[in-house]
Amino acid sequence: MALDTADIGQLRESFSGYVAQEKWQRRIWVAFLTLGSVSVWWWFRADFWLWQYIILGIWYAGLMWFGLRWPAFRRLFLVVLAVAAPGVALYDLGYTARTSALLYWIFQSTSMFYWMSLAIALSAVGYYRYLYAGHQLSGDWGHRFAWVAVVLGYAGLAIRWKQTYVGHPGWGHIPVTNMYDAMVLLCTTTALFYLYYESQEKKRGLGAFAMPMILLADIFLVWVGIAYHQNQIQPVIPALQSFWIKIHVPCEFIAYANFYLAAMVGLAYLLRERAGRLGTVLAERLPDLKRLERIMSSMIMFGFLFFTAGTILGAIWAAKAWGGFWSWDPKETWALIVWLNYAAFLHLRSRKSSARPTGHTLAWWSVISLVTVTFCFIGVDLFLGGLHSYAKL
Amino acid sequence: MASSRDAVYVGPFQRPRARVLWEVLISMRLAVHLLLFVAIASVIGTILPQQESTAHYLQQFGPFWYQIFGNLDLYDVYRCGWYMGIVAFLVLSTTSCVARNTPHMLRDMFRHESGISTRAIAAKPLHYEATVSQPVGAVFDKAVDLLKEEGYVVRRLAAQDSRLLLSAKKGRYYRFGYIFTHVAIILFCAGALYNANIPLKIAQWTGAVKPEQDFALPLSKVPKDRWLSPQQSSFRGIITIPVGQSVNAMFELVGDGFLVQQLPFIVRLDSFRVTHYRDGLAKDYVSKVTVLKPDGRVLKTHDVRVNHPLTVDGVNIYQSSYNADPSTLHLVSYSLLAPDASATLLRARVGQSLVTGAGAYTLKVDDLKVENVLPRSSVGLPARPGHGMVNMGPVARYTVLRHGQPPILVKTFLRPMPHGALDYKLVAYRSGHGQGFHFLALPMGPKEGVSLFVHYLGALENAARHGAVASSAVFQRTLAQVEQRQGVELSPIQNHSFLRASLVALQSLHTYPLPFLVLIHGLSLHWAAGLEMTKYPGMSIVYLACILLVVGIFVLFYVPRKRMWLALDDGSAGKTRIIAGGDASRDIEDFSEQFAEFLEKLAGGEQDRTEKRRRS
Repeated sequence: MALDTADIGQLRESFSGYVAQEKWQRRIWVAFLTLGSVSVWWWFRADFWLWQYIILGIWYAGLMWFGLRWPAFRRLFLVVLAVAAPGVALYDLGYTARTSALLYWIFQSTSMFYWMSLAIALSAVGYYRYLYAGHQLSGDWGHRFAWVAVVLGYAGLAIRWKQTYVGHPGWGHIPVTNMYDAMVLLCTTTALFYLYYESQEKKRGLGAFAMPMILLADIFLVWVGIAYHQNQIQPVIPALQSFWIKIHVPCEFIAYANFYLAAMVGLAYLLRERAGRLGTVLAERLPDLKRLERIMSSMIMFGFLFFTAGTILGAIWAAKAWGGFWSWDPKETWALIVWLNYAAFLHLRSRKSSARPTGHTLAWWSVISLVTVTFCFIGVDLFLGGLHSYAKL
Repeated sequence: MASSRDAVYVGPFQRPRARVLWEVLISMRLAVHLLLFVAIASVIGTILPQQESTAHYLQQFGPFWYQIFGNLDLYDVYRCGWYMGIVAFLVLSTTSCVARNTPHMLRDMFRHESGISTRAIAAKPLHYEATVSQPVGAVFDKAVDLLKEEGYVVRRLAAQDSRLLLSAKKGRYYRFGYIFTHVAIILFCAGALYNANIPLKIAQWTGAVKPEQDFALPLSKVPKDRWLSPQQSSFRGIITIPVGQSVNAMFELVGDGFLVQQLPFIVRLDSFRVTHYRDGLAKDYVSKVTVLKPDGRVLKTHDVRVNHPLTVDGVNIYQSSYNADPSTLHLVSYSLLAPDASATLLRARVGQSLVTGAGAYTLKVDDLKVENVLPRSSVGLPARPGHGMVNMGPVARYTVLRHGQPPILVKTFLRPMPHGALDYKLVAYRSGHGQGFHFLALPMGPKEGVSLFVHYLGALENAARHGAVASSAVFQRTLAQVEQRQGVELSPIQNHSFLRASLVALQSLHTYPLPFLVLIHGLSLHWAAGLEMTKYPGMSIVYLACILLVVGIFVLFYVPRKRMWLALDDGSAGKTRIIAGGDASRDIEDFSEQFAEFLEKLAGGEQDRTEKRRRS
C-alpha cells in the first residue's frame, strides 16, 4: 500500500539516500501547493476580495505545514484529489446519480460515505483483533482501512461540495452546515489525526481505541442520514452564508478530533495501567505509560490551540453577523465550559513534575472530559437549541 | 546556662496575613479551582432557559421554587452578582499572577549571559561528559555548525581559563506564551467592561434611569426621561423601520423594560427585498439603508445584508428581522346570508380592525405572512426530488370577534391552488383553542375569484326555496343559469369539476361558523425591516486579546526554550574533553533525545568514556 506510514518509517531508518529523496518530495510539495493556490486564485479571481485571500492563505499555510511535517499527508492529499476528481468531473459533465451507475454506486457523496463507513468498521475490527488477539496482519489491515476511510471521507466531502451546485447553482455551499456533514468531517478528521499520532508512535495498539470510537460516530452519521434525511442536500439559511464558516468549522473539528482521541488514549492509559499490574498481553501492544500520558497531553494541547482559535473565530463571526461578540448562547457557553475544563487540565499538567497530578488522574480527567466535549458538540444541538440550532435534527 | 534562663518564648513563626493572602491569590491551585468553578456555574444557565418571562417560570417551577431560583438569580445567571464575582475573582487571580511573574520573566528573557562555570553546567538537568580524540578548535567549529543547523542561536562566552565556552539557545522568547495568554484574559474583561456602558448600569442600579415597562407605547409617546443621549459610549438596540421612513432613535432592552437610545444620525430605509431559493426558502434579506446627518447631509447609502453589516461612525448596523406589516390587504367580503348581493371590497393593514357582518362582528387583522413555505406533502402535492418544499404565497390571518362568543381565527391564502382543471381558493378557520384548522377549498370560476361559487350557492338556495329537489339535473341546470347570468363559460371538464367541488364545499360550509366569507384578493406590499445597531468601542481591545491569546497559546505549547552549554577542555595529545549541560522549559524527554543525538554527532562515535546523567 502506497500510503503506509510504517513503510515510510522503515524507509527513514534503512535508506541513507532517503534524506535526499525526502528533500525532493518536500520541494515538489511546496511547488505543487504554490501552483495549486495560484491556480485556485486564477480560476476564481473574479470572486476574490480581501477575505478570500486570507482564507486561501490560511489553508495554504496549514496544508503546507502539515505536509512538510508529515510525508504521508502529502500522498493523502494527492490521493484524495485523484479519487474526488472523477466524481466532480462526472457531475461537471452533467451526469447525475440517476444517469450514471458510476456516480450511483461509488462517486456520489452519500455512496462514498457508505463505503467510508464500511472501511471504518473493517478498520475497527482489524485494530481490535490486533490488540486482543495479537494478530499482526489484522492490525496492518486495520491501518490500511483507516487510510481508505480518510480518503473516502475527504473525497466524498469534496464531491459533496460540487454536488451542492448541481441542479441549483444558487445553493452552493461548503458541506459543513448540518449534523450529517459535521459527523462525516468529525469521522475523517479524527481518523486522520489518529493516523498521524500512530505514525509518530509506530505502535498499532491505540487504533483499537480510536477506530471503535470513530465507528460510533459513523453509526450516528448513518442514522442521521437515514432517519432525518440529512444526507439530502438542502440550501443554507442566510445566517450561514459567510466566509467565516470555512475557517471556524474546520478549526473546531480539528479540536474535537484531538479531544476525542485524547479521551481514547486516556482510556488506553487506564487499561494499560491495569494490564501492567496484571501482566497481560495488552502491555506490549501499547506504548508505555509515560508515552501514553505524553501523547494524551499533546493531543489536548493541539486541540486546545485549535479550539481557542475556532471559538474566537466563531465569536468574531457573531460580532460581524449578529452584532454581539458573546451572547451566552448555549453553544457558546458550552464551548466556554470545555475551554475552561481543558485550561484547568493544562494548568495542572504544566506544573513541575513533583507537583503534577499523576498520569492516572490526568487520564481519568481526559476520559471524563469526553462528556463535556460531546455535549458541546452534539448535546447542545439535540437538547438545548439556541443560535446554533440549524445543526439540530 | 544563662542563655536558657533568658530565653523568651517565641510562638511559631507567623507570616503576615497579607502575605498569606497574596500567596493564595497567585497560587495555581486557586486558578485551577476558579476555572472549574466558572465552568460548573456556567452549566446552570444552559440548563435553565435564561431571561424568560415571569409567567413562564412560575408555570414551570411553581411559586415555591420560582422564589428560590429567583433569589439565587438563576434566571439571568451570566449577569448576576455571584457569577460576576467568581469571574472577577478569576481575573483578579490572573492579574496577580501576571503582576508577580512578568517582571522576572522579562528579566530572564532579556538577561545577557556573560559566563558559566563548569560546575553550573554539570548541575543542569541534562548533563554529559566525554573525551574525543580531536583538537579543541575542530570540535568547537563542529559544535557551532551542528547547533546552527538545528536552529540554535550560538554564542561564545568568555572563560576565565583556557576553556572554550559555548552557549546555544532556542525559543528565547518562550515566556511571552505565558504573558500573552494571561494578559489576553485580562484584556477580554477590560474590553467587555468598556462595552458594557458601566455609567448607565450604575444609573440604573441607583434608580436614576428607569426602564419603560409599556411595550405597546409607540416611540413618539415614550416619556423623555426614558431617552438616552446619542453620546452614550456604547449601546445595542433594535428598531423596525417601514420602507421609506426614517428614524433617529431605537429601543434598547434593559432589564424587564426598555429605554430609547437616540442615534447620532438618522437612518432611512430606502428599500427592502427578500430573495429566494427555487423551492421558496429565503436566501437573502437585503435592506438598502441611507444614513444622514440631522442637517440632511447623506453620510452613506449601502445595502445591509445578513452577515454583511454597515459601519458608520463606529456604529454597526445589522439586518436583524423583517415583516410586511405596513402592507395594505385588499379583502373581499361575500355574504353567505344573501349570496346574490354584490361583494364588498375592504382594505386593511395588519393590526387594524374592521366592523363587518352588519355591524355585529369585529374583524382584526393579526398577521401577514408573505412567504408561506410548507413541505409539499403537507398540501397533498407530489414530492419532487430535491424540492421538498413549496411556497404557498402570501397568507393573511385575522380574528373575528362577536360579543359573547369565542374568537374565530381565519387564514386566507392569496394565491389560488391549482388542482385538476380548476383553481381553488383556500380558507382555513379555527373556532376554538385546542382545535385544528379546518380547510375550505372553494372552486374559482374563470374570473372574479369565488363570485361564481357564491352566486351558485345563492341560486341553489333560491331553487330550494322554490321547491326544487336536490338532484344532479337541478345542480346542472342551476349552474348553467348562473354561468349565463355571470357571462362566463366553463369547458365540460371544468363544469364537471366545478359541480363536484362545489358540492364538497357546500358540505364543508355547514360547519363554517360565520355568515360571511372575507378573502384576500390583492396585496399592496410594503416591507419593514428590523435593524440592529450597536456601538462597541471596546472591540479593538477584544480583538487584540484574541490575537494575543492564540499567539500566546502557540508559543506556550510549541516554542519551548531549549538551552545547551558546552565547555571544551584542551586535553593531552590533541584530545578534547567535552562537558555539556542542557535544559528545556517543557518536554524534557524530547529534548533529552535531541541532546543525546547532538552529542552523538559531535563526539562522532569515538569518545573514550561516556557518562550521562539526567535529573528531573
